[in-house]
Parts: sequence; structure tokens; C-alpha cells
Amino acid sequence: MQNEQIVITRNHIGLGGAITAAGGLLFGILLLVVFGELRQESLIAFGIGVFGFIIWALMTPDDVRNFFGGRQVRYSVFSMFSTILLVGIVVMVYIFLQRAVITLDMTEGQRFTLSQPTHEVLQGVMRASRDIRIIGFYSREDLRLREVDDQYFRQYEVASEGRISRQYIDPDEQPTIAQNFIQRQGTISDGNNVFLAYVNPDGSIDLDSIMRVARSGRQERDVTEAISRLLLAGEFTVYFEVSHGEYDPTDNSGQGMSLVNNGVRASGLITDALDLQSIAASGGQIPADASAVIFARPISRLSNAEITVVDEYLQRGGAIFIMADMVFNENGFLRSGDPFNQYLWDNYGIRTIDAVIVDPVASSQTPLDVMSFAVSSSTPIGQRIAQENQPETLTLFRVARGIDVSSTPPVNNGWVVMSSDQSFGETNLQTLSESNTYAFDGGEDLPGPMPTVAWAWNTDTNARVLLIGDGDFVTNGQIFATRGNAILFTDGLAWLTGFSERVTFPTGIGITGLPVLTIDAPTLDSIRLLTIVIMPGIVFIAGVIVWLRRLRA
Amino acid sequence: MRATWIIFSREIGHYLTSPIAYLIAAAFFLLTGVMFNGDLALSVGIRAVEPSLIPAFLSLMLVFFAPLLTMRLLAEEGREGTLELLLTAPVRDSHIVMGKFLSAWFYYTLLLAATFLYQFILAAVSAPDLAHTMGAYIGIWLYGGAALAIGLLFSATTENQIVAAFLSMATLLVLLLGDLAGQIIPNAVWANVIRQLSLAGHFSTSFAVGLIRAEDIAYYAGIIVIALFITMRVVESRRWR
Repeated sequence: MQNEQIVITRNHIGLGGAITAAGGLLFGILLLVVFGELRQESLIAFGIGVFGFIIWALMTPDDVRNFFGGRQVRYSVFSMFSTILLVGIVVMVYIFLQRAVITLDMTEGQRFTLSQPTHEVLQGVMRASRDIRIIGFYSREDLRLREVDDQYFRQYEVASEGRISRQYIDPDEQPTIAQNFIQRQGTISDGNNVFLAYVNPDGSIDLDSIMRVARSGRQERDVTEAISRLLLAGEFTVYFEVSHGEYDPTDNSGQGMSLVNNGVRASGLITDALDLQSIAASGGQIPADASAVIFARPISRLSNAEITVVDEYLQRGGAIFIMADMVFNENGFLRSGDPFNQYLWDNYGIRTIDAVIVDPVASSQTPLDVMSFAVSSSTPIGQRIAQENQPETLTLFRVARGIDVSSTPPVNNGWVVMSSDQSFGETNLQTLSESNTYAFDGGEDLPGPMPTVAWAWNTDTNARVLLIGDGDFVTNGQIFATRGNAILFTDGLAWLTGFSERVTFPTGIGITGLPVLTIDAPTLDSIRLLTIVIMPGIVFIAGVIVWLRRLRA
Repeated sequence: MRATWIIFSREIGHYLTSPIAYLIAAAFFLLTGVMFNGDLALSVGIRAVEPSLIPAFLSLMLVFFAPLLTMRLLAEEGREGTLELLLTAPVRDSHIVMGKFLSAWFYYTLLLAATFLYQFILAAVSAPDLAHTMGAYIGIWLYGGAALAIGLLFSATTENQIVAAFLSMATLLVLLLGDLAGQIIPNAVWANVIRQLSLAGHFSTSFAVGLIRAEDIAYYAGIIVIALFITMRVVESRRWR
């Protein structure tokens, strides 16, 4: 075996020094860019680079001279600098155009162009005393989603002349800020990650004004409605009546209504308690700022004095939301003989009847768990209930009370939710309450279908009444039974207060309305033949011909 | 300009007389045809057709097609020694690079234009959003230009066509996957910067959804200009290396 002698020359050491110098300098610059400041790690890397350079210069001084003064270096340095200069110019043009927001919307429905209703809302933003910020929570995995949303958000920024700004936060990198939002608005998830808020004069976000942006997949509608709600925040006040044994809107238990109360507040409405008994006793009035009064399952009857107070309020254009459970006490709320029930019938053409609906067709576990069988969309109240192919939008009332709607009403009225043809109204309430048994008795019971939700609207005074034959359909324990219940409450309250008319974005805008594709099978086969066989086939044959010609040549 | 035109004409002639170019075109139409029919079958009776289907599909396929169209352009000239002849001719390096690039882009434009057939078919049997489709086509045309410019750059750096194609594909793949940077990179700011540099990032959320943004046009135009400029410098380096 032959021993080979390893010889280390000055050139080898010089080359090592040059590599060390280049590596050290590059690594140092990289660390500088990553950390954004001159750290100890960068200094060490630069030090190693300088050390390498000294070794290089000492061992092969001619190479160093050639490197800085040679023809190749002159050309390559010029090439490098001119390339860097060009990249710089391109980056500057790119940034300028990005900030200028110059876009061309090519979609048929102009999906990326703000519509006239949005511009009208933005006029309100321009008049507002404070700026608004769109705050989006997007983790690093959602960068594409953020980019899609940003297409819309930046149009709001431009159209509002900067009064609306955008801020994107990574909840994983800034969990403290995310926690602030979670505490006020609940979870932050893919579908619930965008909020609006006023901006304080110091540039910080007014956390008390945070408003969640709904995510229905139609960005313009969602954002514009949220801006409207933010602008209207505080203009609407809803009172929960509390003096007749109603459900407590601050109670977090299953029998409370805290979820609904919080939801109403999150929509920008103010909620408060109202003691009708005390008001009537003191000869007072329902507050002038009351956009609506909710009677969430009263147990006892209203006195004549209280009815007078309610009537005076309705005469002023008020609105009442009555959620009436079947009370098995004959003197209970809205049982026959209750003056308030008679008042509703005489003035609004709607009343409850002493019958519990039994529906063997449209029901859940038992025929007493009545679901919406028919829904009227004559008012906005019923338009989102019982959507096609969305069973979760049906309403579910556990023990529903029948409602009578007058066919010759003194004001406009109508039903919203109706039971099935197979249903009936069980009038033997004693047997029902004692043994939970029911059977149709042709002589006494009332044949279906029967309304379970009805509305009335006096167009002269603008008084509105919504009567629901169930008291607990939106308690904390029931609200998640079906989404339809929450929709009924939300849209019912929005109709009563007029809130929906102020914030609702016109339907139809931003929808492309492209027709569903319909082609018969023979046409589909012809298209298949043309595009998969004939078209590539012709090109392939042309290639073969060219190849054969070249072969002969 | 005349020199650019001569080189451009020569390259186009080369494309039209090359069996490989026809083979690439046939494969191109077969794949887009399969894609088109697949979406058509899935859409019938359920939804409207996807307006940007073909351009979106091409944004993926260009990773493989663009290097096939450009790998030969300068690498072959270098290997056969004809580039030296060209460099001694009374033409500038920019004329050589521009002529070759424009010929590749023109050939790609022809292929792209042929896929309009799918849109004519759709217009005959349905009511597609043609303006949206047009926007997506403009995007993929620019995207293709950028991909071809990158392919040409790698064709200039080596005399081996396979190496040129491989390096181009690797680079284009990285620039495609940059759109998904957030899935890999832990820092959101850096992930966004990388996404902003990616080819797909300037197509998938703008042109593909029917929105033309000036910044995206500037991005693709910038990539083309920078890649061609570097290619010119690489070709020029043969004079002083």
C-alpha cells in the first residue's frame, strides 16, 4: 500500500480563508435580516468573516487583488448591482401599486365592487366622530383566506377615505389580544374571526365597541351590515319585563336567558330590565327609548293599570314581544278571560287559546314537541326559518300553545309558523298536565292546522306585536335545540324594533346568479369526444407527420 | 428589433417543425380536456361551471410545461456551440434573449388560445361568466410568461437541457408552493412575505376569482423583466468569462 503525502499549500489556506470570509459575511447579514437588529450572533459571524478575509489576504494577496480589480469582478459586480437596482425598482413599483388599490372587477355580479347601499353606509362612517377598524384574526395557516377577505376590506378603506382601516392579528402570536376579544365576543374560529371596533384618539381599539362580523360567505353584505350595526350601536334599547315571574335575562342557568341577552347586546342593542308593576303603580310610562319590550314567559296576569301602560306605549309606536307558555293555572297569563288576551284580540286581532298543540307529523320526540310545519314569509320574521335542505332551521317548541288569528282584524296581522294538517289543539288541559295523555276529541278539541306564532302591525301608530305560543324556546337550555329558534327570536326582535330595516343589506346584490349547468347525456358525450379524443388527436397526428417528414429529409 | 424578429421567427419555425412541441401540445390538450370534462360532469344539474377552471389547472401544470418549452432554447445553443456564433453576429445579447423568450411565450399563447374552445363549448350549452374567465386567462397568460422567463434563465445557466428543465421545475415548484408558506413556516410575517413572492399567490386569490389587480400585473411583469435581465447578464458573461 502506497502512502500518499498530503500537502497543504498557501493557496489551500487562502481558499479556506476566502470561503470562511464569504460564509461569515453572508451568515452575519442573514442573522441581521432575520432579527432586524445587530445582535451578538451577527457580530461573531462578521468577526469570523473578517478573520477569514485576513487569512486570505495574507496567504494569497494576488488573488485578493485580482478579486477586487480584475475584469471578471468588474463585470460581475456591475451585473450584480444593476440586478439589485432593477429588483429594487420593481419592488417599489409593486408596493406603490399595492397601496394604490387599482383593481378591475371582472365578475358578472361585480362581487368585488362596493355597491350603492354600501357607499350610503360609508357616508355615515365619514360623518362619525371616530374612525373604525376592521380587525381580522388569521393564523399563519389562513394566509390565503386573509388575502381573499382583504380584497373586500381594502375597498372599504379606500371608499371611506381611510376612515376605515384594517388590522390583521395572528391569534397564536398575540394570544393576549385574542383573549380580549374572546372575553367580549366568545370564540375566535375560522368562521368567526372578523370584528369591527371604533378607534380611540390614541390609535388603540375601543374594546367596548367590538362588533362581530357575521360570516355568511357574502363578504360585502356581512361587513356592511356590521358597520351599520356599529353605527347604530346604542340607538336601540330592548327591555325585559321582570315583574310577572318571567325568565331572568341575567341568569346563566338552563332556565335563564343570558345567552339571548348577550346575543342582543353583541348585535349593538342595549338591554335593560323593566318593572311594569312598579311603573303602573307609580302612574309612569314605559321609557321613551324602549324599542321593544320582551315578555319572556310571564306567569301571572297583567292588571288593568298595566294593560293601560302597555297600550299607551303601543299607541306611541312601541313594540311588544310576548313569549306565552301554556300556564295550567286557569288564572294564568293569557288564559281565556285574561283581559290582556282580550285586549290583544280587540286591538290587534291575535290571541292565545287554551289548547296545547299535538302534532303527530311535524314533531320531535313526542307529538307535543311541535316543529314548524308551514312558515309564512310575508314578514321578515319567517324568511330565514325552515330553509330548504336545512332542517336545523326548523323551530321546535316543547309544549306549544295554539294562537288564534282574526280573519277580520282591526290592523294588519298574520301567522308566521303553523302546525300540520294532522295536528289538533288538546283542550283537556287538566288530563294533559296530570297524566301527560292526549287524544283527539271531536266534540271538544280543535282541529289543526293551527298557528303557533303570529304578528300584528298597526300601520297608523307603527305599533307592533309578536305573539309566540311557547315561553322557553330561547332559554339557555333550549336555544341550541335547533337553530330555527334563535333565528325566530333574532328576526322577530329585529322586525319589532325596526333594527333590521336600518341594517339589512338589500338581497340580490353581489349574487352572480349563474344558472346551473344542464346538458343532456348525448351532448356531454359529444363534448367528451371532441375535447379528449379529436383535439389532442389532431395535434398528435400533426406531430407524427412532422416527425416522418424530418425522418425522410 | 429586426434582430429580435429574426431570432423570434427562427424559434417559432423550430417549434412548428419539432415533433416534441406537438407532443407537448397534445399532452397539454389531453390533460386540459380531461379536466374540463371532469368538471362538466360534476357540475351538471348541481351548479354553474367554474369560470376559472382551465387557468387554475394550468397554474399547476405550468411547473412542468414551462421548463419543457424553454429547456432547449439556450442550453442547446450552448452545447452545440451555436451560441458563440450568435454572439459574434451583429446582434445584441438582449436581442437573442428577447427573441427566444417571445417565441416561447408566443407558442404558449397559441396553446392557451386553443383552450378557448372549451369556453365556446360552454357558451353554447350554458351561460358562463365569460368576463371572469377572461380575467383568469389574462392572469394565467402573465403567469406563463413569468414561468417561461424563469425557465429561460436556467436554460442559459447550463448546457445540459435536462439539468435546465430540472432546475426550472424545482424553482417553479418552490414558487408555486410558496402560496402555502403559512402551513410550513412558523412565523406569520415571514410566511406572508414568502407568499407575496410566490407565483401562485398572485393568481389564486385575484385573477382566479375574477379580480385583476395592478400589483399582480406588476409582479408578473417584474418577474419577467428581472429573469430576462439576469438571463442577458448570464449570456453576456460568456464574453468576459
